[in-house]
Amino acid sequence: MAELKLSSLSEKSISRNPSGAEYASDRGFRGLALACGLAMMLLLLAILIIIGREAAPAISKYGLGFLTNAVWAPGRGEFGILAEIWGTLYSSILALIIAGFFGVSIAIFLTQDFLPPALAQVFRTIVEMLAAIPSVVYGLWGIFVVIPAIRPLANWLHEHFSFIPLFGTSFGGPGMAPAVIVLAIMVLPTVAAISQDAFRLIPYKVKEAAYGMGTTRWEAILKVMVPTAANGIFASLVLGFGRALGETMALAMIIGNANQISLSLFSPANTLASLLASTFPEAGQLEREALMFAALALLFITFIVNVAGTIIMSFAAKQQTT
Amino acid sequence: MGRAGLRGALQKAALAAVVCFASEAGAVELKGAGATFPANLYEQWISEFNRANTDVTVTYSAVGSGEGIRQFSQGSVAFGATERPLSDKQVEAIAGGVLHVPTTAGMIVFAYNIPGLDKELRLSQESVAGILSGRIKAWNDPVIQAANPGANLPAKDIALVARRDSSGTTFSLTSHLAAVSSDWKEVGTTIVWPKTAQLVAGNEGVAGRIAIAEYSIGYVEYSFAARLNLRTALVENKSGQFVRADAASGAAALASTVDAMPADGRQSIPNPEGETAYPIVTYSWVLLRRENADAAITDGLKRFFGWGLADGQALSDKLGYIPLPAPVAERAKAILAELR
Repeated sequence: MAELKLSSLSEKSISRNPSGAEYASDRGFRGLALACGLAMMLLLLAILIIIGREAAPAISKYGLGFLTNAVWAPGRGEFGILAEIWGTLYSSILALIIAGFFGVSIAIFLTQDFLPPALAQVFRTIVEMLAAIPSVVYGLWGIFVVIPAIRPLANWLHEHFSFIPLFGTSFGGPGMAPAVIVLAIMVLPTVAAISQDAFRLIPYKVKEAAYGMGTTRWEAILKVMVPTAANGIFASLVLGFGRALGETMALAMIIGNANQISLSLFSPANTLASLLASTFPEAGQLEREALMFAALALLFITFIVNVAGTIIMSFAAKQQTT
Repeated sequence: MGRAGLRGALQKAALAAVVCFASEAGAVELKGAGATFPANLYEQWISEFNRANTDVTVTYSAVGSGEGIRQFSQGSVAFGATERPLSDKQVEAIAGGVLHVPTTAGMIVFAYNIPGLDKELRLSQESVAGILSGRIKAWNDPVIQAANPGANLPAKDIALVARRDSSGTTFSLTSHLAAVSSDWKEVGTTIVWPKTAQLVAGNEGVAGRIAIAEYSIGYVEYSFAARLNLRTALVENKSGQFVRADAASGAAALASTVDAMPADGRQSIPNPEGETAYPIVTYSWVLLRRENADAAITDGLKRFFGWGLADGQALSDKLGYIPLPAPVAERAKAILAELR
């Protein structure tokens, strides 16, 4: 080794010192990259400050009571977003349960040698294309396809199981159930893609070792692969949750826009994002301030969820590569 | 195309633009904003009027009465439109004063979507107040059933659809409710609805929501229900009769109060008299500044609304509005003549 290095140094090396221009362009690029990075942070900060400043009158007027009051009455100047916080979390959690189940199943199906690689790639692309469908199209699809499709089942459930709070009200159309289904499909690509990455990060030798121990395929998947990818899967769920929280247009169209807190899947509800989208155009000064406060609350919730997801994901990547 | 060709094309484009602007120079643009209630009619008026009068361009944005009044008071539109007349205080805030010109009238109907219901829904005053206050929760409630003998009302929750935005339609409806029900307290353009109510913006929003939500009911101006082929309920009037919303019952409701029309045109009819009168009607007004700085605007407004009060009335009936009774139309023309 040492000999080789010496001999290569003695000849005319293909490597040379960087020229002045290269130094300059390198510095320039670093400066530019730094500026872009800082600009992003400043932008985020500016958004926070501007929304915070607009919301300041509402914050000082309503305080924390804003978060625990479920009445939104612009006529009386009384505002609270408890019903919307409930609707946001309830719809997102339910959607995540559905999307989590199907997303992880898809990830297993596409990464654990069930399909020839070329075919798996086709499936992967199709699932990812779900993410490219505009929100408003999902909304229309929800109104004209999902609602009529689930109506018979919903009516049957309400008739026979109305003692269960989940089915406690009759199904009219726009409401929690169609919203959850559409939302689940919308976050499915996120969950599926990130869980696939988590599975693919597992070195092949882990699976081979499992087979070597005499496990069946399903034992290997459920007892070795899934636990190993667990952190990555969890991160995919958290990021999917983040996406579900902020989803706006489709929900504004099908969730029913009623400011109530109800366990029933069939009753109309509302989410923070849908409240913002549908109320802003006609809002007066007082209501606008309250909406800014609501926007801040939504920003805060999604921020926490996304940061948590990112931290878990980086933790998972570190654990799997070492 | 060469460089010279490109330059030639650019010059032609520039020339075309200049010619275009030159021909628009004599035109006046009238912007209006306000109630969604008369929007279907105004839309038709504008397209008919513009066909004959190319020098006046009228635009109307249906943003709700509350927002329309706000924009009108700020001076960002030439006319506003509302079913809630301005208060004296609001009028005083506008230099030179405000004219209320009644342009049309309409019925507020209860549109419903109850699949399988074999009879027309009949709503007593008690059930209207009960449904809208959230006291009556299911379609087979005895109060509703009492007015609908033999009807197969389903054991389903009532999905109430109401207005979120500041609305003259809401104001007219709540004025009626306060007149017929001693329990009803809240009158206004935005009120607090029961928690289960689905809140949407605009008459078209309410009608659209009723169309897709089963077991729903909501209130809209008649033309919006007609447009989407929604079924509308027969409503109990002051004489205890259940009346279907149509041209005759609407006209009968206005007829009872024509003589009492005040000089300034601001007349509310919360509970009209008459056996055949439909109980929930309102005039719809345009708001005009009495003094306009620009003579072209004054002239344009006079011509457009003058046309609407004369020829435009013929379009009302077909679209689901009530044509102004002749004395009211005369009154409206006299108010319009005060415009400076």
